Amino acid sequence: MMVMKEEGGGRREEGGGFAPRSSLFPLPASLLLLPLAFLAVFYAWPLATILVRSLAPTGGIDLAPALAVLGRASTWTVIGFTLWQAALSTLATVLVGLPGAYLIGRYDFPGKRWLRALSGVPFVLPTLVVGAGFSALLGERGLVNQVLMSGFGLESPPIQVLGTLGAIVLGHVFYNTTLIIRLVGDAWARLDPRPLAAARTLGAPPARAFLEVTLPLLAPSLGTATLLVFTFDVASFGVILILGGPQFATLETEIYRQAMSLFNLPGAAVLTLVQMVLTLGLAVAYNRLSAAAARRGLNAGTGGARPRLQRVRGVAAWAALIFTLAVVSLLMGAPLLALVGRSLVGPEGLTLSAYTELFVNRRASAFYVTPAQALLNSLGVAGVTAAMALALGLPTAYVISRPGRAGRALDAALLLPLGTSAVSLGLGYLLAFSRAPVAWRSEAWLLPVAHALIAFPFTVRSLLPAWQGVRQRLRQAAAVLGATPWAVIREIDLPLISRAVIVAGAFAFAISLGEFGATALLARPDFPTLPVAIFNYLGQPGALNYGQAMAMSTILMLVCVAAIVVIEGLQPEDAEA
Amino acid sequence: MLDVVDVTKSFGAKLAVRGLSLSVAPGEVVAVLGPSGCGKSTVLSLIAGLEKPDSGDVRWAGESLLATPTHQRGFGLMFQDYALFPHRDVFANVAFGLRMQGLASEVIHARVGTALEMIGLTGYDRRAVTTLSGGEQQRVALARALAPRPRVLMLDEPLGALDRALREELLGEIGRILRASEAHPAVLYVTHDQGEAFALADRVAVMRAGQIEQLDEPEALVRSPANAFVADFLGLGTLVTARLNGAGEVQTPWGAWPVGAPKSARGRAGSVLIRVDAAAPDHPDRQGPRVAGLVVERVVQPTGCRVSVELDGASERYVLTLSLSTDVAPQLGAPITLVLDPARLSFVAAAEAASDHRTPSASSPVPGSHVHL
Repeated sequence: MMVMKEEGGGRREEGGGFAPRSSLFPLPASLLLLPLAFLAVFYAWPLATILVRSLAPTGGIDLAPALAVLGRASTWTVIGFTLWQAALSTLATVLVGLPGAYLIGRYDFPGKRWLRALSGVPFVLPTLVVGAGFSALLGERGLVNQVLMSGFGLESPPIQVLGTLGAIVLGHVFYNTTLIIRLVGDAWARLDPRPLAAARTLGAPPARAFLEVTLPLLAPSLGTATLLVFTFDVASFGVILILGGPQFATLETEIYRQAMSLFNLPGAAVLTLVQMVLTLGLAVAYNRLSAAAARRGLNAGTGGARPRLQRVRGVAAWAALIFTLAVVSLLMGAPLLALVGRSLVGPEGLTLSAYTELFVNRRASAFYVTPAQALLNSLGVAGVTAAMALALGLPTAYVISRPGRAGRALDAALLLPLGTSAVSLGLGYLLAFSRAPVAWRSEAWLLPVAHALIAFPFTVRSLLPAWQGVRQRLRQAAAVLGATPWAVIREIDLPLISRAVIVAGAFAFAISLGEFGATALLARPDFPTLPVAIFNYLGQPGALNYGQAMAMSTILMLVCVAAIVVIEGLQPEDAEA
Repeated sequence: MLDVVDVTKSFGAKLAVRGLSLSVAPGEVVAVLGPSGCGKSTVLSLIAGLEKPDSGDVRWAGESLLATPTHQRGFGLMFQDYALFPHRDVFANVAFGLRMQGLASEVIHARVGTALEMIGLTGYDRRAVTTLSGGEQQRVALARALAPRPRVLMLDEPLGALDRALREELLGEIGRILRASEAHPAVLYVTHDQGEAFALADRVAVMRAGQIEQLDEPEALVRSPANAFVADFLGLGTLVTARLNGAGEVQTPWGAWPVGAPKSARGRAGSVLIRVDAAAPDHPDRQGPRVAGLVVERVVQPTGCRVSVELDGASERYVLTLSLSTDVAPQLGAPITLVLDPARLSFVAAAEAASDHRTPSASSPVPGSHVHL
């Protein structure tokens, strides 16, 4: 999962005698037909199917089955554990991230850009890669245990982290720490320094001034960032499944288990309903909170004067720097390096056998394909996903960027896919597309459709600021020079937003590559994507399988990192400021 | 011939243009002159089709253009901020309109070359427009607007963003380019600067609050301003509130003065326009009404001494300025009596309230004037 920073709205059109609200280029409503039809068929309908299956399983409304599921103690155990692990993970994430936020927000130092960028790498890595990374570092067959076992002649691995609540928390901290560092750090950097200076001149010692001035001013952004982390932790799927293992059940993993292992689709539907209510509620709360924070920011804390960043000096700054470096290198760097290292180490030392094996089909049955084929599947699906996400996102972002009610309504509607977990979506597809004439559940193209829908909000969010930044005056100039409305889009809009288009496409590509939640339910056995293959190989015994899982994870990580480099490299320069 | 006929446009509750009419002949330059916010730029938007009028019509050669979208009107508009396409170089900016016409690439190259030569930027083809100076951007914008040979060329404060010295240089250049244009477009030049308007335009429309107060040749505007607003905006002199009595004299705070005024204006309220330098120091040989006052400002200038005199005997504050040689100019605060040259006094009607204003009064209709009222 990924998230985009909330952009502070695009530049408004300039006035200067020309009315800003000119409805100059009335484009055909058909522009929106494609996205709306797509959302209706591949989002609204599957979710409606889930609703119907859980609340009206036999035709008429019948709440008894749903209430029966809700009446079970096990259901509440699952819900309770979902919230408990999310709360615990969020607390740990905030504590680990705050020193970094302080560092980013207050200090300038060589390599700051790099630190910031590196801290963001885990966030965009597929959960399977992360799971494999932690397994490579701390698992029973991981590097640490292997070194300890050979070093001390032990019979069994001494460290048992995987399969504990601690591993889940560790995975979530790994993923989401960058959210705290970036969102809170950036807000910190934007804080008006004058209130703090005033408090200091009024006699408040630094710690007191921090508690009474800085912290309250920072509270809105800290609150929104924390809520965001919590939301991601609630909807987390891969981390729970891979790092926690089968003994832990959150709503997401339980939906998966009910649907895929127990074939209890109605039961899964009820759980999905609960999950949807929960995530949607969190999304709405997040939106409210961030809107309120933005409003308050205008009046008080942020805006106006910006503090000058200081050089790293003093105990607090050095402690924060060392701590953050440790987090980035040990918590984030080590598992990924262990992953690469483990993929190159076989029973007889350094070897590339894990990579060469990727092209060999050991289980030559129709339903097993080589890992290399899975990689090709993934790349193909990701390419199609990127194209579809752009085809949907471009017209949608265009309409939202224009003034008017339609744009605002669409903007709000985009919240909905954001508030739906991937596993819920996958289940919706299984339920909705099971019967003719829409028996699509085993069609290969359903996978990129699901991925495009998951990427859709992010694509729109990437395109929107660029499109809002295109000055209306340029379109007017082109029209006066004889450009038709379509020519204006072709000649003015698209060239000016081309970078954002590439960024949005790369985002969709990266999301699709790593997507596991919906894919786990939808991928056919003979058409696995790379994450599915990794998951299968991780679950197999044998050194060769394990090595191959590591090799595939390494490849997947590198492809994702390449996509991130494209995204970071093409972001407008002032996005960092 | 471009005809704007009784056009009204409002944005929400704000009436930007009210019942405005105006015509521009091919090859003619009409300046629209007015203070900022008077609706000048909106007039251009309406003509270009960027805005639709609430009522009224925009016509070319007698045919309504209201149903014609902007890109089919064949008009050129140069924006105040130029609106150059930042993602395209100088050549591609100038070539844009030609490409939209679907011209062959050789034709485009030739026409862009000619346009760049005309504005003195030959060889700038591949320069990024973002690297150009303000004056160069201005020229590229002009070339871009002119290259497609528009039937109507509209310029919205083309010199507004430039500094004083550059303005004067480019003003002459624009005049030369407009006159040299083979396409003989009808030119509308929007500005708040009287100097620009008078230097370039065959006729000048003085605009206020969405209406044209007077549309005339520059000489006629100066000779007989339609009303006090025009006289004041053009800086023709000092306006003293007065009433024209039945005998053709104006009743002023200092007595009845004989001034030139049409008979139709008798009995009306208005102002006496005391033109710049109508006043001279009292002298027995000089004929004319006399007023007294105190010197409130005395500024030594290369040509002599500019003296401002605040007049006594009126409930309102009136200030006359006159140029005197330094040796005769009285000191600051000194009393002085002035004689006014009757030939440089005239009666102007009051500027009517904008809401009920439909006819810009008794300005001498000049032959060939295209005001439709």
